[in-house]
Amino acid sequence: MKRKLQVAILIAAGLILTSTVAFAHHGVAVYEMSKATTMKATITDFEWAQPHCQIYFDAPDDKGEVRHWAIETPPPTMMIEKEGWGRNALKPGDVVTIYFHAAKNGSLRGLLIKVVKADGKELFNRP
Amino acid sequence: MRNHIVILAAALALAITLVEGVHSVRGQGGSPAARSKAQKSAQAPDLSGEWLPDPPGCGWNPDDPQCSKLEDGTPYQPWALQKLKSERAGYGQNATFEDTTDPYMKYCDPYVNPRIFFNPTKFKFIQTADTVYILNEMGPFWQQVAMNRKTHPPDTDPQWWGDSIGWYEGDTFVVDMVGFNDRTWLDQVGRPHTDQLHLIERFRRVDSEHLELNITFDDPKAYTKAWTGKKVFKASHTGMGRYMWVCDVRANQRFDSDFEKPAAIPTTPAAK
Repeated sequence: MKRKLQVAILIAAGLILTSTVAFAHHGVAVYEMSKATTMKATITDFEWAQPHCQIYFDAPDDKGEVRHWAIETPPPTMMIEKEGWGRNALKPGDVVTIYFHAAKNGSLRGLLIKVVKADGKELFNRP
Repeated sequence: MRNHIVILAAALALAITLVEGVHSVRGQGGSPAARSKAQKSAQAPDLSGEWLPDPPGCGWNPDDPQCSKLEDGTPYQPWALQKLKSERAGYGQNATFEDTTDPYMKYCDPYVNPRIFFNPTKFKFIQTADTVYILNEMGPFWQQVAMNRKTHPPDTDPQWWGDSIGWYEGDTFVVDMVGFNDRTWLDQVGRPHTDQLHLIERFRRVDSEHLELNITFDDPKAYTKAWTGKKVFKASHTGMGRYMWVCDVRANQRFDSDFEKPAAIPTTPAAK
């Protein structure tokens, strides 16, 4: 019961965030916006660039095999409007918990909701 | 040395004369009396600030912020609706990144007015008596709105940015544009237009932190009647020009192609 409640809260949070997420040259129809995926991840690269910033990370799948993901965020022009973001916000080797909307087509792509760093600091993809 | 100064001064005077001459020639023609009266009595409204679309959005219909309906009451000519439905855009009910037909994504074609107002970049107005300049981080592009003439040239050459004249009506800055080519989209889903497009944009500062744009599209070749749209911008305080947005067609293509190739996602970060 508690687990179902947690899932429901997570989905609701994702839907709320959906309405405030900003994009550059495409919409959100390619993502599962009604679901939020959560992973413990190790950052492998952070690309601070247009048309999107990209967070690359490794995370194990259900079988324990490490998969390499690429999650997008809005571009720097929008990210600097949000608290805590900059080109050094994430660095290779950072261990984080990452929340995102996964791609509908099964590719290892997604749209960021938020990152929680090891020190508990949260970086949101919303104002 | 003295000769050089004299020549320089003469060249400068000639340049100023030519510029003024161009303006005065183009300014001739029937000037609407009402507009002229309003223009004379109007004080320039304060449009200072750096304006950001947040969220950037995708279309001009405020009742459909996700652009979920292509047939939303927009008065398309049949061919225009057919063309819209054939587009492969990153927004809307048929959103896809595969084989896009978006001229910006595919070719880095200029992201011009009015579509530029959906890009997550800032713009600002530089208001002078003769001209209002609209500076955009996107491109970076600048638009020149003539305040010292009341008509468009009689036979404008179709261009990406068209020809812009403007005036003030109370607290509103009105921009009147014609002379576009037909190669751009009006929004992010691909609503088309022709070289007959006539845009009227009305910018009004709602309060210190918000700017409102009401826009009228009149293009009889593409739409059966004029239609309107609306957008609101917020003031940004993070600094204009920090991230000028230059289109990178390779970055666009890499993003789209990576997305459509699940099996090709590398086990190491993508090459930059």
